[in-house]
Amino acid sequence: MKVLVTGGAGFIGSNLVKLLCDKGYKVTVLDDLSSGYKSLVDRRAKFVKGAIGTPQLLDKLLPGQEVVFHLAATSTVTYSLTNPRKYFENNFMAGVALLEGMRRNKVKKIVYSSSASSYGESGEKFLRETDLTNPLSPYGASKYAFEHVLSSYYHSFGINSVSLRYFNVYGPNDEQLGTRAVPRWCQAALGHKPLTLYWNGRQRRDYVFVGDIARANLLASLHCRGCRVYNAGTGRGVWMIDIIKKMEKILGQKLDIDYQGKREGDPKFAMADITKIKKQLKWKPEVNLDLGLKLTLDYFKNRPKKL
Amino acid sequence: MKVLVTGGAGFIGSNLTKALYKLGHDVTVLDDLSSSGRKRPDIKVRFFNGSIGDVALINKLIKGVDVVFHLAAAGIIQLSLENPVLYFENNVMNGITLLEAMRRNGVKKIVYSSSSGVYGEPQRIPIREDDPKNPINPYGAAKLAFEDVLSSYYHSFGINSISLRYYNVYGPGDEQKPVTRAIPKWIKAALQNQPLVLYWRGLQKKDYVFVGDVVRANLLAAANCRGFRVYNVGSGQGFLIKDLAKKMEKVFGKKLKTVYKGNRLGDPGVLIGDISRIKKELGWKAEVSLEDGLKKTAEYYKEAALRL
Repeated sequence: MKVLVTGGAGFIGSNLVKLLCDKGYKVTVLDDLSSGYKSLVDRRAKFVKGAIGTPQLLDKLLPGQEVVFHLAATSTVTYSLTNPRKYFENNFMAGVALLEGMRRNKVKKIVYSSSASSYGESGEKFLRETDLTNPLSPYGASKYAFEHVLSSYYHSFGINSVSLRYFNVYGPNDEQLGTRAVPRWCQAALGHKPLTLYWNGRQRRDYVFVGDIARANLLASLHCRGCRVYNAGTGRGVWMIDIIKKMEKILGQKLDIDYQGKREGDPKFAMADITKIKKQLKWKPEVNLDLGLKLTLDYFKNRPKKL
Repeated sequence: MKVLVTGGAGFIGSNLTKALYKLGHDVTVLDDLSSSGRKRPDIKVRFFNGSIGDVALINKLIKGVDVVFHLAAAGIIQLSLENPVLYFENNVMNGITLLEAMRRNGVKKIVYSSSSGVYGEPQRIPIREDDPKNPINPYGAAKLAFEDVLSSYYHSFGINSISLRYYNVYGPGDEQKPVTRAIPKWIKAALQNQPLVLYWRGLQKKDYVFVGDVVRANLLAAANCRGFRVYNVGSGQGFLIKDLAKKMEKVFGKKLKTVYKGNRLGDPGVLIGDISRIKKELGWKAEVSLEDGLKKTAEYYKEAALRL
């Protein structure tokens, strides 16, 4: 089966591409390398450097594709506060261009990487897909807004979609030079530097391993009928401070913490109720946090100096 | 109060502009006159023929404004199916340009004309604001997407907003071309002794709200614009389209012929809003009955026909 992965040189994308290649798919990766790395892309996949908003390029790549996995995005919550417009251009309008390309080329299935930041501040409850959605940041708004576009493209044009709302994804290949806690902490810990912690670690989140997310994408593509939305998390909450404790246990050493106060656009709680995806896609996470953190630390220990 | 009305030359916008002007507010209208049938306001307000996507212009006009009424939009569902990109550009991206100008210039309040099209096929009637939203056409998706943008601009940048989800608005001043809305189409047909065209055998049930009531909702929203809020703006009552045709006969005092066309895509069968939230929080409810509203609308088109 032929598939296109946008953002396939990124963190989650590269993990998904590897899984798809392992399963024997014919994979084309489209990535502008604005935050991805070609060296992360599995060699069995065909790599094309380019932006998803380019109609001519899409018309070359889309014919004959069975499914599009759409992961390309500008993805740092904090930066979306300094340049909102760029986020809506990349995460919203460029996605519309992709859908228009699919429409022209009769590609009927898309699996979309959405985000838990669609919800906004939830309090301490586990979020269900039908819960209230009031995005806090332009990033969250741009991700969620594209779900509406998908809804309209299903009803108006028969393009089937599954949107997966990721909670906090972590794991190997996370080379984003940005703001995510786990990769920063891994690098800091291995480099004997202090770990930067916001809100005194009193944020409770749902950390899900990237390999599980790759599997969720694969399953979604097999059930891509209609217009569906699923949470993709573990259904468990972990306090940020406890992640550091787990890392200390794995590394067998005490880690220094640099307490940083609060960070804007960042809800205190975000935890998934995953009843729906369990039931309908038969997906559940398989890698627990201890194993996942160990695999992530191993990756950062052994990663090449230059990507 | 200094206000900016985007889309102030359109159907709802021109009604709102007049009301604001009469109340003595300092009104600036920005409209690109892109929907044919629009013209400059015939009252003494500042008018700019331009797009809200024009960064330089919007930065100039936004200075010192207390409230923005944002009505500018590409508004025809059928056309959104033909050119989705245009709808997302106009109704989402240009709105972001407007918000960015507000942010840069410290303008903190916006009243946004959203649409009941955000819901798609409703899961229950009447529809409440928090019900599931599954837009079925690019127009509805674009309208809803901009509400998300407003949510983020409140939480991230402190810009207060009220989104008003209009149901079927009708009344004087509707010069939309091509005419897709039932009431102006029918009134024009009735005035020319032509048959009224009904889709879905006239069995669709819609919530009709008079433009004057919608204007009042905008004014109340501006006076209470704090936080990020969303309200249905409808009459709270449903009318079968074929009953609406009967009401028209009463208004015109004559028998009107009807023709049944088939089904029109992208158009839910029943759409009625629950308006308890706006009643409770803004103290608004629709005051003009359908019959009175239709009379006023018919008079408008009669006069317009005489002017031609």
